[in-house]
Amino acid sequence: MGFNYSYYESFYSQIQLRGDVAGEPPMQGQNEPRIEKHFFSYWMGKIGDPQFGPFYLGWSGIFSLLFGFAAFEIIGLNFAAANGWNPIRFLKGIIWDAVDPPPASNGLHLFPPLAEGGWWLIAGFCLTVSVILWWVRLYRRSRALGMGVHVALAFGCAIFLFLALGIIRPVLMGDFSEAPPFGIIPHLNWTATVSVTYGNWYYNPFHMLSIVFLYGSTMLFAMHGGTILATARYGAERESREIVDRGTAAERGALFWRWTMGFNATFESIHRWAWWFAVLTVITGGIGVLLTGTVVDNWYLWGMKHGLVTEYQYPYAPTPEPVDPVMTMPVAAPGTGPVTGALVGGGQ
Amino acid sequence: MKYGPIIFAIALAVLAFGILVPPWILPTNVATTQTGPDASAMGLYLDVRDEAGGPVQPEFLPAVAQANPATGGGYSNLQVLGGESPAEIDRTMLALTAWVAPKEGCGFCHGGQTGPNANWAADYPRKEVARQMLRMVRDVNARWTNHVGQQGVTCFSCHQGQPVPRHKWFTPQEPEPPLGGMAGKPREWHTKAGTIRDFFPSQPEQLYLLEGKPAKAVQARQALVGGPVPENHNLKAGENVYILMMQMAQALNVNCTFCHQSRVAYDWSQSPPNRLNGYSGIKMTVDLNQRVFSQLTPIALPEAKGPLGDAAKINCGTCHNQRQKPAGGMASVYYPALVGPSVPAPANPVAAANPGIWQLARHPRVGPVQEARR
Repeated sequence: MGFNYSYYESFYSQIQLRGDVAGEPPMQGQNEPRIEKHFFSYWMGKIGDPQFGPFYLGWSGIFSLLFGFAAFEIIGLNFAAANGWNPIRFLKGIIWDAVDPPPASNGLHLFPPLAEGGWWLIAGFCLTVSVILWWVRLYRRSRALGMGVHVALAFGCAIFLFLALGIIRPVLMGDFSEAPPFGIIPHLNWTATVSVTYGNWYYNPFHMLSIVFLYGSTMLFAMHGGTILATARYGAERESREIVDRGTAAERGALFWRWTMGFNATFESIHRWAWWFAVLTVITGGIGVLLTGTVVDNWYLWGMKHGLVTEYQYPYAPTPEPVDPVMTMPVAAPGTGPVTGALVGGGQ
Repeated sequence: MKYGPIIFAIALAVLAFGILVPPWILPTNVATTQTGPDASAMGLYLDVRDEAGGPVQPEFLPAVAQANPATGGGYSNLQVLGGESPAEIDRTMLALTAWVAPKEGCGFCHGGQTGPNANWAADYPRKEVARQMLRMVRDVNARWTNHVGQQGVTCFSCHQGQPVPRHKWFTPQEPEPPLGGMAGKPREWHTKAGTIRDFFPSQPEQLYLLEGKPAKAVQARQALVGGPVPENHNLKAGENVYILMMQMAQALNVNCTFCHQSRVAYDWSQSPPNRLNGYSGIKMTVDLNQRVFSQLTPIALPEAKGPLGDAAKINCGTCHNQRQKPAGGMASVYYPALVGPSVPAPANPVAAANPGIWQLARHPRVGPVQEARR
């Protein structure tokens, strides 16, 4: 819309515009035709821009959606089949259902039976193609608008974590069963199990770093959002303008942080803080994932070995490890147990 | 804002749902007992409301050691209680009727008979099951003192006034892959379960509480990859052991740190001594499932059979019923007929291998006194 600051309205004094497509910069490079339709939504205008469209799909967008839809359908139809195509059971069970990776015995073979991980591999392949094509789309649209590719790079970092969990680490470990299943509760169970099986992930320093950056991201988000909203009455929401021409809003925001913590980020650098905290969350997390089971087998023991934590003094004496007795009574198959005479005590 | 009232109404409905529908546990109701050094995340969390109330075991004290005139004091066809006096058998029979079938009465096991002309010596299928159960109780109170201690168990510990105890499990049915094996195999969740704790698969119970596979060796014993790989050091076995442990925690209404050190699950030396009691409990459950419950299949009644026709089997919750110590037992009143090595049975395998456990496992108190604070 040929940016004009006087168009700006705050949430409280907003006037929603209707009419033709707002003015746009020209697209660069090779582009497919767009869907030249747009419409307006009052409620979308409450949380963002009321104008919907025009849309740019392009080949990467079309195939990303198709592959994503394929993965979604494979997972959803497997869930539906597991629930006997009963919609009530499907809705009740959806958080518990899973499409599981192949068992460990399959190793890295690419074509196990469909029911034993085959669907997991196909769904995983489709989902991977989908997110990578979406990355291509983000990258190419950034370039077409003459922007930097920071959004695509950040999304790429998230894809790195996704692939580290789903394919890189399983390949390094030598079997796909190490990968998380598709499913809501099952993938959460997987995180608990993988943490316990490999010692205790709280002692994984990359897990620690990932948590630092994750929590740090939320804190930076709150600090930045709070600062801008608090100085919006002085025009701080026009961040890009404040970068080149520091106005009273920027002065107040900066002074606030210098007063309270002695240091302030600039209107530009705060966005670098936020971007790096966000991408480091997934980069450090991905490194922690890739080291688990491939290099480090027990994170707790690794942490103790390197003096990460102190030995504790317990209010009880060391508990002795019991000697495991052998329990050898053979188990009768259901319905084929011995007759009464063989019960406890042999009937006397 | 023409939709304002609608949004307001939806918000109110969501708020009302949030307050009324989920079973909220208020933090103020949860008592925390610290059981380890500061900042070690060692604590027991208990909702104080869970401790209040609960079932109370009906007791029958022998006022006079004399036989009930209704039975005439003459017992025949005694296969388990042969060594007890008629008065003691009367008392035991009255007690176990009140514990197992208070509504149904004596006839529940004695073929529906009532009145003075009943033939108490006659055998019936339920009576045979009761006989095996009585043998088991005597056996547990005599041999498994390293788990049940002096409190012991009675029929009430599990039955709590119900003919079939609330918590039990059956050999799981292998789920059928839908579409003739084309769609993925569903997980073994019990999708028709009424509560979340019955929802979890029975596979871990089958492996670790019946077949006696060791529920251990999930975690590696060395920091770096390269040493010997423990038996269960893979995600599949890890998840099974995890589900077994969750079953145990829910059965006792405790959290993991009741038995395990928060930071390292496998290390016995750092674990609270309660873990020994849990260990002997697992072994006792394996023993009873193998020697008693899986053998009951030919005589078990339909109400105690699973989808594959196997007799109900026990887990920790069968006795514990969400309490650290099961209700009932013989803490205040002693029933000699419920204790007795009257049957030939193998020695307690845990006790034979671990003479030291007996003392330690008798309800150790993990006090809140802090070594680190002194």
